[in-house]
Amino acid sequence: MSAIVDIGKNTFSAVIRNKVLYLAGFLLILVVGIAILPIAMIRMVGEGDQQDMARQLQVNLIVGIFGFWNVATLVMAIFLGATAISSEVRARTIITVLSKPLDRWRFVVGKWLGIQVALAMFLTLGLSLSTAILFAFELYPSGLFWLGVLRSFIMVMIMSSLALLIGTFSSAVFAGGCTLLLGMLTGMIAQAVDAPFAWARLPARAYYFLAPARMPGNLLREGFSSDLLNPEYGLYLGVLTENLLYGLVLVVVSCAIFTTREVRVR
Amino acid sequence: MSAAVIEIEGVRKVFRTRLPRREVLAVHDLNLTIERGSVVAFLGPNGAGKTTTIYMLLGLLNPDSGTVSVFGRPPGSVEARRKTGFMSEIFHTYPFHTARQALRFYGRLAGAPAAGFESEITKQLYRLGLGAAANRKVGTFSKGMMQRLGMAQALLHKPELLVLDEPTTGLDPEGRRLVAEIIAEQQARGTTVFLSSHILSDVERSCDHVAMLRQGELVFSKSLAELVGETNDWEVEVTGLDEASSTELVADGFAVSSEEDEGVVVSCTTETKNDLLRRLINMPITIGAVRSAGQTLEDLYMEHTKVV
Repeated sequence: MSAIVDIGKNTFSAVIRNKVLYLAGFLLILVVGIAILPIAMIRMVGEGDQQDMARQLQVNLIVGIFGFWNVATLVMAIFLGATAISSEVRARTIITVLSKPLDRWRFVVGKWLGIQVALAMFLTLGLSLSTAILFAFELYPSGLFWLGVLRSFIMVMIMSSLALLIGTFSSAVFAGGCTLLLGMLTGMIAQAVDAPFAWARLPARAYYFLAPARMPGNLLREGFSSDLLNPEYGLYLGVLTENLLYGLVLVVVSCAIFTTREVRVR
Repeated sequence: MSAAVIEIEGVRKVFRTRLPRREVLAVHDLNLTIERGSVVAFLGPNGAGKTTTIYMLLGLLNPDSGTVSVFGRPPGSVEARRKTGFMSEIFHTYPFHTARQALRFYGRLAGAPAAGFESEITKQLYRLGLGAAANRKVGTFSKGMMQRLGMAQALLHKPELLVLDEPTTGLDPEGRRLVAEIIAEQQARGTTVFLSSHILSDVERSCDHVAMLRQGELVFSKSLAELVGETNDWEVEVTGLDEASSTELVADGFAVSSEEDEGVVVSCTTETKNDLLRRLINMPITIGAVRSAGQTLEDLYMEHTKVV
């Protein structure tokens, strides 16, 4: 266990020293700052019947901000996952690390853990900003919003795990590209599942069952809705649990692949 | 328990490139046994397959055929690596660590005993001349300092087998001497040392056995004494030897050959060496070097690496 923690800490230390991430964080905060201005203006003009519309606009902006942050974290997750192994190979640090009495799976789990902590911190920063704005404008979402937040964390974990898995047997560029493509396909596949043509329908259905479970609806947005009388918490929690397990299976497969692979350093 | 620490039997390793599709034979039918407590030099020109062999010993690469065992176990096994310390040709590590943090990281991964761990780190830092740089970021280190740090991390958990891939790369003469001293210390405590090097003087100074690879094949694997001390012949350099004395020496069975700078070399055997020296001392000449006429490691290396 201590080896996993050591590798994890080391990976985290390496990630937080990546200047690109600070640049991304700075740009995101800039975008959030710009987005807050119209929210404040909407709040000032909102009176009477206009209040509902103003509130809706505020919600849209806040959900948009968190969604934007979420997308940025997903991109970061793909980048960090895809480069997790290859960066060690490129820097040749992997030679000395793997010459130590360390099981390969521990190395993979440690890398994964370090990346997850860094990503979770980054997403939490976005969440903190969004939550601060929520409370500043006296918007109090239901539990669905927080389930939506939890889903964001799990999706970030899945994407980084998938990129890590592909990165165990391919280059970082290929791993990142494939993960991005598969992530985009997951969003588009729902339409193709019922396609009239078998050539489109069959692979779409196969992929549908292989891809992470889809969440019915946007929980972040529905967290502010007063129309939902009986939200299906059980269903949502089921989907989240399934996705969590999906991510963990990806890590197990990554370990299995990396354990049998040669480490070629040029 | 077997006395062999490393056993390599019939190992073959081929690298395949994708585009253009090509096969590169890195190691071919390699057989090598390294006994416990020996200091073995692994020689060969660039691309001979030395590093590939070392990576197979560490379990980073798998042989296509044949077997490799380290301490009687598969090389990638945790048990084998627990007893092994490794230093790569150029030590690469995380630049954000300080020297102390780097050793702490590698020491913990190597399973160094917790008791006295910090004092062992301090001891190794000072032993390798890095005491003053203990809290400096590794990213600011010179190449020589990195090599010293690489050596320190390899020694930290007191391995029974030390695998050193070109350990003196980037080191100044002082650093090279330090490496030789450390190898001698390790040999004294019974550690088996497997050393890949191009620097033949280092090899002659440190090793008791030499294995040489060329184009992936083992050229020879012999003790150093066997390799360089297989001769009974000696040579004496002299200057100012006149014609008459030269003829007299030849008549008595010594060979005399001309050298540059008006000097000559008189050859003799171990049995006739003292007699020759006595005669030369009584002549009005200057005696230069007295040396064994056997091949040096450099002669052997050049002979075996010559492209046919």
